[in-house]
Amino acid sequence: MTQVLATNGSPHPPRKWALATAELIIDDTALYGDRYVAAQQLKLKIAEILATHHALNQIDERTLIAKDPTIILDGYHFNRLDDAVRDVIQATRLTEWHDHFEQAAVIGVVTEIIGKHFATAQKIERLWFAETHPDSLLAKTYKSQAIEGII
Amino acid sequence: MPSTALCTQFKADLLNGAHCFGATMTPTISSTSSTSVTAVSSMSGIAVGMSVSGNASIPANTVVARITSSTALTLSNATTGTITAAACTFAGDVFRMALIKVAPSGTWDATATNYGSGSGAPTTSNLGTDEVASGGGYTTGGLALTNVSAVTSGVTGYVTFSPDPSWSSATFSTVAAMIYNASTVGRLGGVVNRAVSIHDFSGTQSVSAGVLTIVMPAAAAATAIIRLS
Repeated sequence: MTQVLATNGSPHPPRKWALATAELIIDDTALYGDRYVAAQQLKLKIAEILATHHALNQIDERTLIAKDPTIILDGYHFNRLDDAVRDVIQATRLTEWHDHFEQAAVIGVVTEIIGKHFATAQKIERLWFAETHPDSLLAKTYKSQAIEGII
Repeated sequence: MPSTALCTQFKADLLNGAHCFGATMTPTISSTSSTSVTAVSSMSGIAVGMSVSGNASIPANTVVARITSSTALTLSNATTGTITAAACTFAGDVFRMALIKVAPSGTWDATATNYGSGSGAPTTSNLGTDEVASGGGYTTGGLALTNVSAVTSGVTGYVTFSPDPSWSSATFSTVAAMIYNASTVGRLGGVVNRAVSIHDFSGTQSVSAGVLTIVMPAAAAATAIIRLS
């Protein structure tokens, strides 16, 4: 299922992103009873951990844009991704799902989920910059490319 | 109310080769004022019908016509000059996400066949006035998605798009989305703006002077947004 994140007046806050990311990492749709409760607890624990990483991701992007706005035309950066994935896998220790999250394929999916959300959050920071600098040629270029899916 | 579904017509179109979900590739190529391209550094992810651009010697609307060997291919238009080991852009079809307004008159589900013209009365082949109107940070036609090449896991093949689509400075409400193929390549005669899928948002989603993001499901065999198993 798709999720919809809607935030009035600003980009999505890190905590909202963290819950959305954790929702995809912990699939509890087929669980019930104690296992469902345990999965909910793990989901909230992962969201708590990811809130910090999402905040750092957004701060990094805002700092980079403030320093050099032309970076909005560059690719996305993932220098915080490994730390975030490591902390999520660490959070599954002492849970019944630890062996599952130790599998390379599962780590790959977790990496893809967090990386995609980091990239989307960076894109939103860039869009927000473009919206708040409507007369800037750079911002206009970025918006047109973003709408057409080029970046 | 809309229902999440892979459009039935899309399934037939897929079997007829009407869609290319390939991600953008940038191999280096060489060519000498002809349709022949040689020394393709990597053919990975390249498919017939992909658009080719990124060099002044490649005419507009050029696509891959044939793949003739592991390092050579034929273009639909002749290059207008010499290209020597230059990186060029090979892109799959352009898929877009359009948003459906609150209380649409149409029943948006697997029966949808086309995005349509962007205006007019809603039918299964035309989203028309059931699309969120332009304004408030939304433009009819929606946003282009960024392709990620198809992969497999177990017995399932799947594709996703990344990053997730986001509308900023947004003030509107929506209940669902349609993904459709907006490519101008035209793989099948008369087939344009074909609907791919409908995604119900389980109620009205509203945003005011903010950001609306459609978070796609995890790209995995059991969850990816478009998957064949």
